[in-house]
Amino acid sequence: MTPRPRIIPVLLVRRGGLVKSFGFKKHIYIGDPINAVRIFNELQADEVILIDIDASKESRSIDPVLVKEIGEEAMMPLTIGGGIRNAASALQLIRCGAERVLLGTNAIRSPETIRQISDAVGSSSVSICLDYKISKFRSPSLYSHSGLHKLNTDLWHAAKIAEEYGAGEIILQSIERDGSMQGFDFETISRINAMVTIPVIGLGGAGTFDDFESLYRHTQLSGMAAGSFFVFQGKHKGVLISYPSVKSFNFSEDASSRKIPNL
Amino acid sequence: MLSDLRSDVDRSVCVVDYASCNVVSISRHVVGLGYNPVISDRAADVKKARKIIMPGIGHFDVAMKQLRQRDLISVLNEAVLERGVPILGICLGMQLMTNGSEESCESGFGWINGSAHRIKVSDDVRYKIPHIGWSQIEVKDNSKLFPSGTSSKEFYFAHSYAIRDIEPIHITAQTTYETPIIAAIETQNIFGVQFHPEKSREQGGIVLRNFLSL
Repeated sequence: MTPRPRIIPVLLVRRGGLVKSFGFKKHIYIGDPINAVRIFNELQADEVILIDIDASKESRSIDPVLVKEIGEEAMMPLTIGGGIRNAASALQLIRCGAERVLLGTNAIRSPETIRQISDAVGSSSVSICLDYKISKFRSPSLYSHSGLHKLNTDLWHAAKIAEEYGAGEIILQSIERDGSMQGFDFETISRINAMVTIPVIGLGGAGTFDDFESLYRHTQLSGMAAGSFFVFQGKHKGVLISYPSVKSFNFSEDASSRKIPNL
Repeated sequence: MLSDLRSDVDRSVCVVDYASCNVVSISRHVVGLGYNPVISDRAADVKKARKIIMPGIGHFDVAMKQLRQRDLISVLNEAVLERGVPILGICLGMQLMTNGSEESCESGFGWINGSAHRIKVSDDVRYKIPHIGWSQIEVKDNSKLFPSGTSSKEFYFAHSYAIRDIEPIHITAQTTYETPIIAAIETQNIFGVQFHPEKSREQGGIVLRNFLSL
């Protein structure tokens, strides 16, 4: 039996409310995070990623009180991110109910921090999110602080650093595809997945079931994450939280009738 | 009044809290099942407990050192081996019940023969380490933790190490991650699960309930 990929909603928190971003810029308010986690719980989501998107810019960590409220609610694994910069803060969030902590792109600049956090909580409890943009004729560029600062390290090198310093998972987030619902970035995700021995999660651009299925067939990825796909419905993008049953996806390899996008 | 007190004591469950573990979701389950969780790293609380849950994440070495610093090793040995208190080890908590780990200089409790080793996988991209995600388990019939019909249910795993060289009679469930992985062990009052029952939806709750109602 082959492992099945995790399908993961990503929730963004800003000042205690839930928001959805578009290209990391425009944000719209979509509701209450605790309520959203409760719904994903009932719908039996594989896991939820919750990130405080202002924490890092404001030099603070995500509020442990909020994490504890959500942690008590979640009967599923919860990955928590936002301004986590040392082992003590990672451990505190895990004790509040996080299954895993999510470090931001900026952690690549101080890999020793990744090592310290991984030593404290174990590598299977540490994910790192690498936010990138594709610049023409060049390697994908990394951006930290919600896409504000460009780093000098290229994405390929960053993925290797993350693995070497003890991260247990890499989340690859395409900034350009954020909120676009136009499909995942197959090429970059596939390449990184083949480069590292730790699990890789693709994020950015999912809009349809087919986006997930095609990405999986193409990469056999450990997990696929999305924001808009789980919170918007219909062509007018009305806010309605949903999570499809695992059976709705067809991840089998022999579904040859499905088209695989050309790279 | 006295009988109330007694039942209160009977329903007390010590969740051993030695720093590196997620105690919130475990104790929430324990409360939900009608028991009183005592989240503690004090030897006195372990001595009083009618049931013990030993969670754990991170490194084998660090966990054993944390337990030693809190003088919990001998109290746990006494509770488990001499008084026969039912104990459930979760994830690393289960691995600590064996003789030791490949990654560690520290010995384990040695309640069950065997040891923890890094999971071996080929270079097939479907199998990455850590093994993180939902995997179906196969359960043996004679297990106290799993009701019949648990086989094929998915449980949540997150680990890089797995236990090996366990006597087959003590293995009650396994999963497959390219090769077989031991998912649960039990012998007498000693129970261990590699997956996270507290994060495994309803089926995980049933495993915890079965342990607590022993």
